[in-house]
Amino acid sequence: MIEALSKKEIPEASMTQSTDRLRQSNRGAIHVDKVSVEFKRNGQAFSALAPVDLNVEAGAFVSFLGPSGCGKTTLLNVISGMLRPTTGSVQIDDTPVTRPIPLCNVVFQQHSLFPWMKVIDNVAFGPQQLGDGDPEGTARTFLSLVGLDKFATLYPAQLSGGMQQRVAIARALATYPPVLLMDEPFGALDAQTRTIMQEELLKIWANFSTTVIFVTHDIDEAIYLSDRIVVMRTAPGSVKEVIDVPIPRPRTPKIMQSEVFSRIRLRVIDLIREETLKIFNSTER
Amino acid sequence: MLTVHPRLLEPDDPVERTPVDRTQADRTQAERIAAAALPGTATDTTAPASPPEPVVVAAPLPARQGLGARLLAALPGMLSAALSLGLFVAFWYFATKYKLDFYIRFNNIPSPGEVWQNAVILSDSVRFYENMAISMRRILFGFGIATVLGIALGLLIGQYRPVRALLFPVFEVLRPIPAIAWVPMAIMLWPSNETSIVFITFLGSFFPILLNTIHGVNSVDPVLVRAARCLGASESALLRQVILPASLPHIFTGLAIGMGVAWVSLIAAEMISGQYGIGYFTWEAYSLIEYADIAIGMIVIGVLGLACSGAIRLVGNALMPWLASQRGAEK
Repeated sequence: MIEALSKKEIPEASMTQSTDRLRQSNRGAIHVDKVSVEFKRNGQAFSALAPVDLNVEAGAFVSFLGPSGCGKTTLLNVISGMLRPTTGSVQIDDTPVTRPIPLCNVVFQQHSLFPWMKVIDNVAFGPQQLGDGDPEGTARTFLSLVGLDKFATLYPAQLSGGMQQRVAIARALATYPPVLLMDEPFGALDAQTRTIMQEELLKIWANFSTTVIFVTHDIDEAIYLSDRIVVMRTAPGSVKEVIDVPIPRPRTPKIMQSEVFSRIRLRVIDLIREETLKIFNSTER
Repeated sequence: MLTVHPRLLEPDDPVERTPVDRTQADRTQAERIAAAALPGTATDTTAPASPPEPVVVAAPLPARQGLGARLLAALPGMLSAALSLGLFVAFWYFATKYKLDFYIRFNNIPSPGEVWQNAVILSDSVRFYENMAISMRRILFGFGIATVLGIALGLLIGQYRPVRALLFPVFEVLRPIPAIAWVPMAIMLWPSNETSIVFITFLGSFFPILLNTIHGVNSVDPVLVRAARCLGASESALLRQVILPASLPHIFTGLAIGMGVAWVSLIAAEMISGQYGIGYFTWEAYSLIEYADIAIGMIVIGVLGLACSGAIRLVGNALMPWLASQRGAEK
């Protein structure tokens, strides 16, 4: 655990190509095995997620992409253990996930910080629950990692939306989870802040051997950040196609002008368009 | 304001109180009434009294200017408050002087002057302070027990379905019964008059506190609960560190309402079954044809009730400092 953190002092070393880094880490492999989810809606069974099979290697950055209602958040909730699947199972490394376990922490879209705790106490919450000997010290380390050590004694409401999300990331990382789940974490931010947050996230992630599942409906964001993009099918949700992003790291916003980027972008747009049209037409009726 | 209460809460040694003590209590009480009537008057009188310090120029001067500016800004509000209260007292004065009788009858109503005279006399009466202290003690016990039980049960009922299934129906049946309706039953239930009055006070405040706590627990943002669970919070940590603080704003709404109902129930219980207490004092004044004392009893009840609500607000602000920052952020 300590090794993972000490890497931040030598960020250059960890900023190698994505494939190399994947091989380095050995925690946080996710196995989704025939997971399906059904809800009861007005007494009728409603399939939110058709059986999904998915394997994510340890240390990969994977995005779930698709229009709203494609079940990407549902799948994320199943992986985090907050939602029990109707069929199938999820394993993180060798541990079956049946309830929320500290193997994966979640960064939500917004307002998930405890408003009554100061910033430092928010970040220290996880370490404290897990019996960390010095939760405050750990919290300080992670706050400085996201560049907010100066704001430790403020309340979340006193921070901007972008800063709040950085605190949320620090809080989620502070228990050294093998898997970090991010549910549209930048969705509520303005475009400028969002771009900076994406760069920031890549920098932070480079220091951790953490698997990241990143839910978004922003195509550029997904390509810019991910090793792999899982494009979701709608009604019921399932995996439509998995697209590799063979762009080397470290990445800067410049890669958005590259030829590979545009090619992937066009492909993803096509796939998403099909799905969006499907929903569009079905609601038209 | 608050420093007065502890003294009032010691009814066991009223004899030991020296006259100096009493005049002090009197003065603070008078100040309190004045402060309630005209917010800012206390600072108004102290500001010119502090000696000017011409040597140190920079620091105190802006502060004093700030105070002056603040007083100036508060002046219209103070003037209109004084006018409003003045008109009320003037109406009271003339209505009792000319013994107005137009359906409502002012024939036996004491005049402001009589009330003031009696207040001066009463301020020397140990018995009067005893009555206040006994009422405050009943509030402290009744409301205190209601706070502890109401919050604890509210958290459990709100959070755990089996507890809710077991307890909530009973509370739903008992809740519509006003606390005062319990008076005869309470007298039979409890061994002494004192305990039954405390019980009535408890009942009055228990349900608002309980229901608001349950409501608070039910309105906790589920994202916070999910975040806490993911971060490894156990059930008890979740309850103590997330559900309780997240419900605090609702809980304090319940406490404020509960305090109001506690006073209503207390005064009614004291009037019906009481010995001692400010409600008993007020009713006894009617029986003894000491009409001016009725008004004094009413004023004291109002002031004590106001002080209790103020105390709850103070505690609430101290326990929920983040709300101030939220309000600041919204501006």
